[in-house]
Amino acid sequence: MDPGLRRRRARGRFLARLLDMLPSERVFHSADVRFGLIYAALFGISAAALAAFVWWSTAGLLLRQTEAAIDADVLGLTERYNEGGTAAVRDTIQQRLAANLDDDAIYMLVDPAFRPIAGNLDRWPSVPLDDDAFDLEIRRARGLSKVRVRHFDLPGGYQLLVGRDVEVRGQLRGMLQNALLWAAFIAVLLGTVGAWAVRGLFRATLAEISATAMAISAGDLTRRVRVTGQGEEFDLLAETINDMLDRISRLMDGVRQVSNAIAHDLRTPITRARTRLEDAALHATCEADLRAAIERATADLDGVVSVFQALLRIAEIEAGARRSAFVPFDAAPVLADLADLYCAVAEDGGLVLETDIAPEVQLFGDREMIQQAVANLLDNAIKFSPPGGVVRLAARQGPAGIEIGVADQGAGIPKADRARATQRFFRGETARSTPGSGLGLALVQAVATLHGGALALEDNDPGLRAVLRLPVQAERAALPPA
Amino acid sequence: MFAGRLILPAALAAGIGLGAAHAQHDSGPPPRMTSDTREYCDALAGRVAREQLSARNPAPEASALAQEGTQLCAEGRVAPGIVRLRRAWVILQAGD
Repeated sequence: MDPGLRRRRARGRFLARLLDMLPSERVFHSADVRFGLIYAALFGISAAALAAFVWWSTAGLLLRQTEAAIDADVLGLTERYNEGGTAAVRDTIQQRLAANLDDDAIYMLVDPAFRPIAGNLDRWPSVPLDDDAFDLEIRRARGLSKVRVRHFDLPGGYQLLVGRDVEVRGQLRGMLQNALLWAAFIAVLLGTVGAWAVRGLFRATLAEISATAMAISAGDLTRRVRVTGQGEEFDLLAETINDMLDRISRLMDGVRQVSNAIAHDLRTPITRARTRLEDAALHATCEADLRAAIERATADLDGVVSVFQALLRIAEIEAGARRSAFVPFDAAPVLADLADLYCAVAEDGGLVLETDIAPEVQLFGDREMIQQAVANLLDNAIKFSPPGGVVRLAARQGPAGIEIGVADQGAGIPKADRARATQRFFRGETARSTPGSGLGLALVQAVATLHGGALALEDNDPGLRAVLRLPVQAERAALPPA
Repeated sequence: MFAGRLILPAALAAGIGLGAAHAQHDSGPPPRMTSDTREYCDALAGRVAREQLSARNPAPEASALAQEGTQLCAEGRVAPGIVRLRRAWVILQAGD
């Protein structure tokens, strides 16, 4: 191969490798690099501002002090010139030189031909007369020295120079400049290290969250983001994410539980109906037997349908679609009607239904839903009360809201079960032997939530007291959004 | 002849003017400070001595500083000599 071509190819490969080593555009679009760069920029700006302030308050101050001293000197000499002419200026200069303890004053008064009249320079320096202030070098006994001088034209062609030796201040300025340069180098170093650390911290934190999210998406719902316990913003984010994951987990458990409950609770009546129909098909000897079997199977299937209707009803209430139909109404007559209706049912069970309903109970909501919720509570109370017991329906309107309570003297619900008692299909140990679907209290809870209220289950000693607390009509604006 | 008499002073004047302008822009060695020399030290010692004589009641400290400064200058230690003479001057001025 041609050596020239080989060299060109080798150079091309080297350039390609060099380009690969450079950070790509994607790197700068990365959030961690961006945060690192922002940190470095803020650090650099802060360090520069600090250095500028230090410079202004030290070297700048020295320069300002020098200028102020020269100005004061010039003012005094001008006054002296106005009082006594050049002779007065000459005397003043000699006196000021004699009193110059810092040994830094420079004066030069010359006539129109630049012949020295007074001062401590051997000759007029080579300075442009157009400038008012400038720096120049002079020879002193200890060597060359830098001075800051101002030039003034006096009447009659006389020229005056007033200045200060700034050699020592210049050395100080140089030392400060060196110190600031070193400080800038250290700042760049620290800024780079800090930016790298910020980038790493950011990346590590996001990697933790990302790993948790990936594990959860892969099916491991037990994984949570690590909380350091330092109460920082990332901890707050981690806690929020963990709360969200807990809630998702609870919801999924609930869905799973409801699915299992539906399968379990509906399998029995459906199987029973199937068995009856099969038995009738195989063993019925007359039409009456067949009709009876079909009727019993229909009753079983009606139960299944009612469960589905209840589930759909709860879902509809939770969706909040009916909130637009809310109206203000007096619940007292509604509760009185319910009491009349359930009085007969209670008597059939050997119970007494007592009422304590306020003359007026103003509500803002859905009359039918409130009626159904209280009916469910009364139904439960009657169902779980022993014969001879008392069921009490009370309603009152207080400053905190409206309370509709249904109390019984049954077995009650253990405290440990009360939080779960309003979940769909929950059946306590004491309710296993009683017919029911476990959806009654779930519906009451949904109605209470829809109306911005709450359902509380309390001890009645003996028995249970279910209290439906609802906001008064004036608080309807505070209802949860649909 | 008359023209020659006119041209000469004009040329001289121009020469002086150029000399003056040159003095302003001369790029030779930097000017020398005269207030840190032995001559200045002697002149300052004389000024302080005259001020002492004219003062009604010169401070003993000023006299001591003046004497010390003059001696240092005489020994060739100009910088410390001038510092002492200046201190003496300031004290004498304050006494006045």
